[in-house]
Amino acid sequence: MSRSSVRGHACSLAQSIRRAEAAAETVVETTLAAIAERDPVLNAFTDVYETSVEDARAVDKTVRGHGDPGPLAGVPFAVKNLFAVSGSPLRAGSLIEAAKPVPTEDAAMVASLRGAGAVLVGATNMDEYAHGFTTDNSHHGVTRNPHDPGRIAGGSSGGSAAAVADGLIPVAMGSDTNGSIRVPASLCGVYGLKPTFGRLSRAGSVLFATSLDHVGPLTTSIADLEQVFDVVDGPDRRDPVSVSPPPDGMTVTCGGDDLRIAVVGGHFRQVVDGQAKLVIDQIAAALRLKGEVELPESDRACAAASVITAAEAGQRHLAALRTQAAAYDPKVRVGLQAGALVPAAWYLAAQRFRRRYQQRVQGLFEHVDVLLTATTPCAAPAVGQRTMNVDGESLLVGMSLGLLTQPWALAGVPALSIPVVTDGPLPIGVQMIAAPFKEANLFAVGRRLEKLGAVRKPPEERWL
Amino acid sequence: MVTPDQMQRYVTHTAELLGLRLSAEEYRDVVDHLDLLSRFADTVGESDAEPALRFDP
Repeated sequence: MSRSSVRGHACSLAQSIRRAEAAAETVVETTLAAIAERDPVLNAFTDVYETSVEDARAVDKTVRGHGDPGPLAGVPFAVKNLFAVSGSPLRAGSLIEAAKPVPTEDAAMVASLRGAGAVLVGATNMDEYAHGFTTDNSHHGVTRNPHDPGRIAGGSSGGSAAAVADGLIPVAMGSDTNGSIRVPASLCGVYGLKPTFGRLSRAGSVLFATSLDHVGPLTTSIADLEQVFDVVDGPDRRDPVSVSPPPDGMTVTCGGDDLRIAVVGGHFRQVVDGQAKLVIDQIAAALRLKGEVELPESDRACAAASVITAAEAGQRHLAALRTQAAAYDPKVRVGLQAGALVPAAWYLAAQRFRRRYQQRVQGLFEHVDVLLTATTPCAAPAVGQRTMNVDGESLLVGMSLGLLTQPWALAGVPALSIPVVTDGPLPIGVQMIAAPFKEANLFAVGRRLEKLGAVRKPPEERWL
Repeated sequence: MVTPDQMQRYVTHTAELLGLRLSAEEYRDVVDHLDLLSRFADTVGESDAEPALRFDP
C-alpha cells in the first residue's frame, strides 16, 4: 500500500517514541493534564483512565529493552464508551448498561490498538445507545464543539470527534449506524471512516441496530487513518457479520492518480445549504471533476435505514423497556418504544428495498471508483437547536444531520469524511464513497487532497 | 396510508401485546413517532428483491 507523504500526528509520535526521542510516560501525563484542563468546557470524556500512565511506562520499558513496542507505540487514544474496556464500566451512554457487571475483556478494537502499543486514556461521551446525531446525553450532558462551544459536536460519536478535533488525542474510535462517525467528523473538522460493513470487528461493543452497525476510527490525517486501519483490520469470528476482505483488499484501483471520481447529484445536492454546496464545488474544482452521477431513490434509502434502525433497536431493547423504562433518556425511550412496535411488513419491505439499493450503488462502481458528496447538510447547529434551515426548508436537527450519510450505511460501502478548508470558522466535511473493500481508494483520494492543500489544518497537538 | 384512528388503536393493542406500559405522554409521543415511521414505510414502498437480512457486500 502506498503511504501518505503527509506524516500524521500519531505516526510521528509513535516514531519518536520508538526511537526513544520522546517518552510515552511524558506524552500520556501531558495528555491527561490537557484533558483535565479542556474537558470542563468540551465534556468529551465520560471516563479518564489515570492508570494509562502505567501502560505508557510499559511501552518505554520495551523501547529501553530494544523490543518492538508496536507501530502505534505510546500513542494516546480514546474510545466511544460503547466499547468494552476490561475493568471499567461499559456505559453506551446509558445508566442501564453502566449498572451491569464491569467487562473483564477488552473489545476487539481496544485490544488491537493496545496490542499495537497505543495507550487508552479514556472513554468518550455519546448519545444514549448511539440513538441520535447530537451527543446531547441526558445522563452525561452535551458534548460541545471545540470550534465553538455554543454548538454541538454532532453524534453519536461526538465525544470521540471533539477530543480529536481539540488536539487532546490523535486517534479515537467510534461507531456508525446511520452516520455516527462521519457526522461528528464533519462538524468537528476531523477525518472519520465508516469501513465496509463487517470489515472491522464489533466484538465487545454495545450494538444498536445490528444489520447497520459499523465501527471505525477518527484521526487528523490520512496517514494516521491508514496506520490505525492497518492495525484493526481483519476478520473476527466473534462478530457474526464479520467478513474477510478479498486478497486485493488494500490495493488502490489504477494506481491512485487515475481514479475515476464523480460528484453525486440529485438527493445529495438537494439537502445541503450554501456552505455544503460550496465545499463540494471547491473539491470538485481541486480534483478537476466534470459532471455528476445520479443515484435514484436515495431519499427512499434514508427512509428504509430509519425503519430498519427503529425496528432493530426497538426489538433489542424490548425487555428493558418493559422493566426499566424510567432509566432511559426520555427522547431515546420514545424512539425505542415506537421502534418496538414497527410491523414486520414495514421492516421486511425496507430490507427488500435495501437489497435493490445496494445493487444500484454497486452498479455505479462499474463506471467510477470514488463518489463525492457533502458529509452533512450544514455546519454544526447550536446546542439545543431543534430545527435547521437547509435550502429554504426547515428540517429537524435530530433526524436530518444524517441525510447524506444514511444511504451509504444502508448500502454497506466504505465512506470517509474529510475536513476541508472553509472560509468561515466552522468546519464541514466532504464524504467520499468507494466500492466494498476499496477503502484504499478513499485513502488515495484523501492523500491527493492533502497534497493539494484542500484539507483543513490539523489541530495543535496538546500532548506535546 | 394509516389513519390517526388506526394508528392509535394499533399502538394501544400492540403495546399491550408486547407488555409495554406507556404513560399518557409517552403514548402521544409514540403515536407521533410511529406515524413518522409509517410515512417512511410508505416512502420505501414495495419491492420484489430478497430481503437483505444477512448483509454481505
